[in-house]
Amino acid sequence: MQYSSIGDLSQSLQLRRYNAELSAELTRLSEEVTTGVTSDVGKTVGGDYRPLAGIESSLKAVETHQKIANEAAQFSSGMQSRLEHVQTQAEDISASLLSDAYTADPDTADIVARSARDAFHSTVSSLNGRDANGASYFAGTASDSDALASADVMLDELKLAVAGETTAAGVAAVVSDWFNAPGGGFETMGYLGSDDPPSDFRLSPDQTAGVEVTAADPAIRTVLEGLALAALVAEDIPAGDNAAQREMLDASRDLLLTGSDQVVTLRADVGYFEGAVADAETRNEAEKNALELARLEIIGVDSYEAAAQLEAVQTQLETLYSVTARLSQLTLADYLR
Amino acid sequence: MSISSALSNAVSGLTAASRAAEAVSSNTANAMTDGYGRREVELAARSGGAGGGVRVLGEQRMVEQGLISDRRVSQAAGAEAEVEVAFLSAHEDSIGTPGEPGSLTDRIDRVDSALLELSSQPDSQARQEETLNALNALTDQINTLSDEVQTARQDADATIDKNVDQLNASLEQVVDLNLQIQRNTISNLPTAALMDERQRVIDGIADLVPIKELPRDNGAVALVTTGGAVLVDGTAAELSFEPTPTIVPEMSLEGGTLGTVMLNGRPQNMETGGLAGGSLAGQFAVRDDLAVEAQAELDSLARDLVARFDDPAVDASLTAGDPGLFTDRGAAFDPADEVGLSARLTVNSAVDPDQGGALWRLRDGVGATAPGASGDNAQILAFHDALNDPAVPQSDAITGTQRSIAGLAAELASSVSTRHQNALSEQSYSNARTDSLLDLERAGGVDTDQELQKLLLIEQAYAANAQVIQAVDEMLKELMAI
Repeated sequence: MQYSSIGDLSQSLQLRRYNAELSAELTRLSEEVTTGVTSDVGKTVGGDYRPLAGIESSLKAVETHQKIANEAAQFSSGMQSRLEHVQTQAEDISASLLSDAYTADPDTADIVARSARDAFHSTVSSLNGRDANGASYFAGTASDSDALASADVMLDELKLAVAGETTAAGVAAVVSDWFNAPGGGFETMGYLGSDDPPSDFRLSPDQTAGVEVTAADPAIRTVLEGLALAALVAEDIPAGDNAAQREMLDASRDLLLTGSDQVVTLRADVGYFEGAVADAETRNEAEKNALELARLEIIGVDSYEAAAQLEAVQTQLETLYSVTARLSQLTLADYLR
Repeated sequence: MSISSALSNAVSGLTAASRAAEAVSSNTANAMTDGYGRREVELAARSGGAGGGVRVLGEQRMVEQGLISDRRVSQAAGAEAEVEVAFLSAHEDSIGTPGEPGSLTDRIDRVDSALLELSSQPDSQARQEETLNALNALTDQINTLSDEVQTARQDADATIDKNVDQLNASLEQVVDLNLQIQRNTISNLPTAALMDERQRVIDGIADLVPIKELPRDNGAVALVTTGGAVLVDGTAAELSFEPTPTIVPEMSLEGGTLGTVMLNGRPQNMETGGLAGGSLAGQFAVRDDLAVEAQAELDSLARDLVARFDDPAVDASLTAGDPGLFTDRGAAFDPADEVGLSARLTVNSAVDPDQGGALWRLRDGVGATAPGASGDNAQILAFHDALNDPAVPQSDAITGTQRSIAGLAAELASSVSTRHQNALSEQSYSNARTDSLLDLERAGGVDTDQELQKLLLIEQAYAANAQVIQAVDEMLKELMAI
């Protein structure tokens, strides 16, 4: 099509259109330079959000897993320190019982027995500990209840149970039954928690681990049994019979030696869990970094490049302005005056 | 006598110059008017009679009809794409981009995190509340998305009603203008202004339906759509439409509960029929195609959510047939009722203390009658697994492959976004074409430089003719002085 003239409107509207396009481009680039992230995500990913959504979900999940791993570490560390206390109590009392000084002197026996009774109280109160959120460490899934009845309550029950016994063997048998028999005193009113161990922690998307330790564990029962036997001696049971009481202290010493070894094994289990938690934390951290890099790869914008483009568009816009100004002066009407 | 014919020639020259000046003035006055056809005066030598002199044949309206037709067709396609893009863009915005707080995928992630945190402290009231809040936030958003889709359908329906009225009015106007132009042409009166007006009205129609203009006698035109429907040929066709003010997901065109445009009493297929291709067809595409597809995808997502949690293998406290964590407005889900599920999706009231439920059911199972061990997270971990396990969705509106719920939501967002990008590229192609055709059209418009140049000539011609008249006048006076 050959025109002998070009209409005014076409030029002016074209210039207006270029102006609008360049201004929009300028806005977009300014936003990208400032945020470092593309301004139109849909266009950048070409309409496929699945990889980006996967990364965002995983990032959020990893952060939560880190929180959980942290909480698991605190929980297991609390358990560990209390088990350490139990072990120390058992070892201390068994050490003083090993020295044999009490065999000759009933007063020394009394002192040891009373310190064993204190150790029993201290062990029970330690096992009844709760974490920062009020959840019980050793009550299994019944996290809102105490793990054990109070030391006094248990000792009173034991005193009732051994009331008729006169020999050391008899008392020891009753106490052993009380602690270890299924459905015995310990299981009915001594241990207040649940039969299920504490719930597992989901440390990472594919790893769920837990600590299978409650106060009803045989290791703890053995230690408690040993301390309880010696505590009963402090209560002068069987009454007046020093020889029997000495036998009971011997039995207590043997139980405590076995028990403290068993508690060490228990602590090793908790330690193994703590190791798994630490591993999970490291893995999660690495995962998080990798995910953040991947995310930037999809929607990130090289700020140097964006700044360079911004410069270029600015220059283009300025050129357009001067062209518009010049063209508007090119009109015949000005020259016909 | 030759002196009197000289006079008459000069007078005709003056008239021609005045007519030309009138055209120039009209052009310069309308230099900024879009859609104005540049006037040019056609002159021819007078023949017959004494001979000599100039005759004004008429005022020509310089428009390139071919360009205008092409531009109108492209304009219609652009208008249709614009309507579809508007819907898809709004829908994609509501769904949000992954990572954006409040987006659909983000809310699902929030539920995932809340359940995970709860698993670490199952007895924590704060974490139970956060889990309930996260669940409610998710269902609220799915409800809102569904409501927005239906509102878009209602808006489309209302716009169709308005457009049909507008179309009818415009067609009547075209018939009217046709009549006036025919009359003026026969009486040799100027028709340019009327044609400008008619072009403007037809441009308005071209947005709604793609139009072809066919010439008829005496300057009248007939209007036919590119699909073959005759809108104006002598008389205007009659369009009618039955609006539906309230639209719910179950309503559809195929089901007979929604209306379509009737042309002279015959129902039109807006996808492939005579009226297809413009923004009117675009509104129908939104109402009957895009929005229905969007609704189906949302319903499929909702159904998958419900199915993951009402399975007794996941929630041990339920029996088969009981409503699970997600319900269809309180009741269990019935596969026959999938349409519109996303609008009715709610969290089971059994876990909401504000509705007579209890938060410990998030830990112990939706159907639990009494609280279980406070530190037991087995059910919570089961819920978390249910959320994340890849499963084939029961209805395949989104996809038929195994996905976790987050993956399914990402697929939904992707499919909407892909449709949006496609519609955008259609739109930008049409717009680019329309723009370039418009540029060519306007290039043939008024150029003030050229008009001023013509004015110079006209001034000269007028002055020359006036001089001739003066000279003839002198000659006659000489004659009279004898």
